Amino acid sequence: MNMFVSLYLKELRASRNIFLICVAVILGCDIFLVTRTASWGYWNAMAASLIPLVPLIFLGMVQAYLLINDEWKAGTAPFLRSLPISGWGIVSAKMLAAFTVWVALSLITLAFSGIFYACAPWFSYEWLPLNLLPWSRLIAFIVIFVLGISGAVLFGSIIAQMTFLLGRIVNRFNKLISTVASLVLVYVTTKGGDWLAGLLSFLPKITFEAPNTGEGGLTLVKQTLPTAAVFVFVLELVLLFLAAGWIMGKKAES
Amino acid sequence: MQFKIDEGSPIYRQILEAFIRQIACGYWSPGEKLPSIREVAEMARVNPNTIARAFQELERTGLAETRRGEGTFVTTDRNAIVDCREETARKIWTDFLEKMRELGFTNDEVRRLAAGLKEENEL
Amino acid sequence: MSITVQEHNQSAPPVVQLTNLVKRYGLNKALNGVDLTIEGGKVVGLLGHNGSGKTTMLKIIAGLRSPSAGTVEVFGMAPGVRTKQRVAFLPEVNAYYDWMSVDYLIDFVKSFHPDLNWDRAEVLKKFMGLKGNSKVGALSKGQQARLKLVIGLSRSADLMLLDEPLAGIDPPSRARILQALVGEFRQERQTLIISTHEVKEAEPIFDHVVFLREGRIALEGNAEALRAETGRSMEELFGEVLE
Repeated sequence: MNMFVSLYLKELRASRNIFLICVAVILGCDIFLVTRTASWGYWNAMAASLIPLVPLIFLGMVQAYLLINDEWKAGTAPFLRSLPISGWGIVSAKMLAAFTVWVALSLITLAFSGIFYACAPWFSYEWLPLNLLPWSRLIAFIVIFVLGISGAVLFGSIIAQMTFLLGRIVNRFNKLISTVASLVLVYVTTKGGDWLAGLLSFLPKITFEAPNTGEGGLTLVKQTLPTAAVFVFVLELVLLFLAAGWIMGKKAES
Repeated sequence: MQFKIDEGSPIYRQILEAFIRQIACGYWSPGEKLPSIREVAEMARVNPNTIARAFQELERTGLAETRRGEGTFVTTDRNAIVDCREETARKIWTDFLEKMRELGFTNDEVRRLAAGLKEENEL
Repeated sequence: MSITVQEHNQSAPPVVQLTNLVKRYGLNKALNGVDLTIEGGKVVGLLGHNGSGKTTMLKIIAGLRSPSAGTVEVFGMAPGVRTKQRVAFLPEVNAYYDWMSVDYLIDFVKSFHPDLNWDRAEVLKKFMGLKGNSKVGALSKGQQARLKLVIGLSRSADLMLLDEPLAGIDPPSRARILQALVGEFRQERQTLIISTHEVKEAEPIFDHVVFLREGRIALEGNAEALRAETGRSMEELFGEVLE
């Protein structure tokens, strides 16, 4: 079996407990909400079943941190870093595993919500119409939205890994260095990103239609996304990844 | 095949002497193949280089010969083995006498002791 | 006709070359200027008390720590992915994942080191008394120590680094471990560096010994030559040189 695949599967296996706990929590929430359909109203209860998607985004970022933190806490870092795989291989295996867990949990949440929705007739409720907005015109929005959230999760997880690794370069004061480093890192990426995006503002913009709740109810409104922002985002992601992989491979102590 | 090793003096010599004694007393027959260096090293838990050196020295004594690719064999020269046996015996005897002298025994006392042991059928 | 025991390429760089190696942890110097050359085919004993720098030195050679000053070369290269392919590092403390079963772990290692021989692993597992479906976390300390050796010896690593392989092992098991080490050692290709502070049982297997005291080499040389010159065992020298 390929080295990277083997490592990726091992990271997934290491995430198993958190994954199962989250599934249990989501299931529990949904069951709770089913009991609330009467008092809260069906539409509200069903919408509430989508709420777990929000904390899941943070979990996706934190999961990468946990995967890397555990190596040093459990004392397996010397074994991991003695394997003939580059620091980038290790970092990406963990990121990919955390991302997979996030995607899986999000899909499970949506699936449960979907079941919730489909079961409406059993509770003597009418299905709410899904064609409030023309789907064809929403596709661009959905794609951009999903990519954006995914990008945010990846970005957050690489920052999480970086803060841990920065604390690991020196074998002392890990937590302090980690905290300071994470603050500096977030500041630099946002401020630097803004500045760079400003420089590149000459780049074209992407237009799409996004749903908006306003005066006239649910409508589609034109939005623009500067290509510069996308470019800066990808650039920062790549740079952070390169730095994290380098530290993991060459500078971290274990 | 057990080796009692004293780590305070060169081990190769102790292995060498052990093999010489074993050949002298007939534990290994003339022409018999000795275990490989690797086998001896593993059993004795000693570095293979040390065993190799012992075998080299053993060859130098004429008691064994190495055939490339086949291993090390006890010599078929029975005279050499007989000589070795006698030489080993002399050495033991000399060591014994030295120990007796350290104990303060004179040559006469040693002979008297030998006669006494002969009476008791010890010698 | 002489017996050839060294078939390592004479013109190849030494397996390990440390030049003025320094390692600082804060204000503390774990290694304080170490110069060491290790040629291929040797079994090297790295002898010293706890805290003398043995583990640090091995970890630097393994590529797990980087020097504060000085250079380290393994197979003529700086430690990295390419050296890690050929090096097996067996740390003192168990570093394997507790949740893995023995067989899963061997499979896992094999995906990184294709040279790992499954048949040899099976034989060694039996020899060391380990069951394939036991979880690493459920093994006793002695079993974990033997597991490290199963994995290390199933591979054909050119350089094996063993950090205190006999620590916490009962005497009969120690003999078996030393026997396995000597038995599996392929002198033509492999080099072994073993760190220990318990010298007596292990010393006959060493070609070369390095005495480490407070981060510096106090004495170094061929074990048999030292025995001849000083009339002492390595264990006795350990007591004298390292007080």
